[in-house]
Amino acid sequence: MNRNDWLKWVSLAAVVIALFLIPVFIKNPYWMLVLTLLWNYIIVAQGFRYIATTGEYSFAHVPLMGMGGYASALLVMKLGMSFWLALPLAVLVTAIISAIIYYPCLRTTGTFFFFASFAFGEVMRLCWVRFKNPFGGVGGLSHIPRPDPIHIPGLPIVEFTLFSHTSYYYLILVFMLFSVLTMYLLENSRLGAIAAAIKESKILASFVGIRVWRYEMIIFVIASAFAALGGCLYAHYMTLLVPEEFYWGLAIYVCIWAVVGGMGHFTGPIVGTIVFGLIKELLRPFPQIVPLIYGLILAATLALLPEGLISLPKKILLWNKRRLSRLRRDK
Amino acid sequence: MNAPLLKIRDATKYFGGLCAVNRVSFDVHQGEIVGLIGPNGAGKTTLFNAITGFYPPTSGKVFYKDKDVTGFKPHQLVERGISRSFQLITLFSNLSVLRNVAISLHLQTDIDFWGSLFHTPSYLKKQKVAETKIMEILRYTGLENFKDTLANSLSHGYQKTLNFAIAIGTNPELLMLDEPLCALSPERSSAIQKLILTVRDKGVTILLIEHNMKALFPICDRIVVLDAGVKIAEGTPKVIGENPEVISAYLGGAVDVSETR
Repeated sequence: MNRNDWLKWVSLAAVVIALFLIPVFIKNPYWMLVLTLLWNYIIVAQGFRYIATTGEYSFAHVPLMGMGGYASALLVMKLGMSFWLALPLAVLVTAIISAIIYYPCLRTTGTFFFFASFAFGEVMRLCWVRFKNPFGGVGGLSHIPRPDPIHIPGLPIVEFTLFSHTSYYYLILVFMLFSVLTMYLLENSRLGAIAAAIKESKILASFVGIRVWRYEMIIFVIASAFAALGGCLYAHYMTLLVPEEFYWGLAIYVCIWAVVGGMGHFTGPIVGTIVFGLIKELLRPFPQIVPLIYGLILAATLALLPEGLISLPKKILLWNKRRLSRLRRDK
Repeated sequence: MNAPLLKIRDATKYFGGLCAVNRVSFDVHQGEIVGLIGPNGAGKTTLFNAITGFYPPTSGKVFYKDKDVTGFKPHQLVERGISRSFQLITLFSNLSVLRNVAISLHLQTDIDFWGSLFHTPSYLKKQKVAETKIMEILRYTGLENFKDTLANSLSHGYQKTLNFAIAIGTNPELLMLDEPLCALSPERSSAIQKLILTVRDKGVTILLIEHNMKALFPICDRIVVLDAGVKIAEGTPKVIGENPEVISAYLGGAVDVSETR
């Protein structure tokens, strides 16, 4: 390991420790809620970008997040299941549903894929509105139970009541770190190389022996599982699910977060989600101008930093180098 | 003579009412370089596409090593050892030359998914082996100095070479090249010509479409001529160069084969 690697690992450890220490310093429940939701959206945005590594933009991703939430809420409320059992089951159910809806979608690419996935997402949302039983119609589901307390003998009981912000913060933080780690590993695995090949050229990929359709399916299902995970955690945290929350607007927001953060690297959606989350909080007194600001930032990023905010340090170095060479030339 | 490596029997392809390829049959034997020529629109690329699973032929059969491979998907053909390059340069444009070739080795490296996920020691060892393979391909295709260059910032000639390198990377037994020499500078053209011969000497059989007669005649063992979807001649370059039907259909005048040899 050289010095650069050390620096990387030390700063990474510092960030993780800082994330774990946040509840010690922030006691305000409102800010805890904001941060917890932010980490939750990072899980979803990561999944969205993971689909986009194959070059497709899926707008069924956010409805699938809702599907995960509904699945786990119904498993807990109707079948009386424990949250800890319902969570993996809901993720599994949503992964299967995603395989079913992506099956026809995968016959299309590009804009057509976007519209096909958008249509399926809306169909899912309209199903929740239309079928009062079990989805609760327009009003959605309320009084979704919080997760059961974790009781490990010898350790203090971890509760997830309405007032235990800290424990839910840690719960979502752990899942967020898990999803980031998974995305990092996937990016550097064989699957990452295959996704890059598929994004560049599906035809050439198939002519070097890659089963394009199969790998796309695997990637989409993995991504949907993360959407479902985010949805489950969201449902049981907010204790309320309304179909309106998962409308296309949120899908576009998730897309904007990922694109502005940077699609080229798994850290992009993290940066984008945090930046936009903070902007939204700063603009809380003026909610009506939030979309305007989002749009302006999106346009500016696309024009100036097409690779997203994560390419900013590299760009600054480049600008500086150009400036220096210009100065030297002028002398 | 052994059974042919590739047998094409009565391959026919209709696009609606238009017959692009009409009952074409020919064989490609192990270790040969076979050229496929014909005027524009003769159906050469259509025939290639029909063989390589781009779209299935309307009728007719393709046999590879005496097994029926008609209508197989590209990845199935690659698994059996048939690889092709494209007339229009098709690359993983935004990836480095090294990664382009690395991806083409997809099927050669039996890396298991979990190993690649956690970078286990056995995975790293296999990766080392793959790297030496990649470097070997880059070396003999002459792309070594460009290994970190993005594919789309290469010059046209080297993109063509990379196209070729990707096709070789799949470790084919039959290599199908669609106009590998078109629109190249004389020196790049002769470099790729040499490359084709090198690959043949490594035991790869080659079927290629080409317009550049001067470049094609000296390297081919046999030539198949298509015109308007029909095979009009087949034979050694010398025979083809003297065939009056071919000359009138395509060459437009006698080619002095002895000069190009």
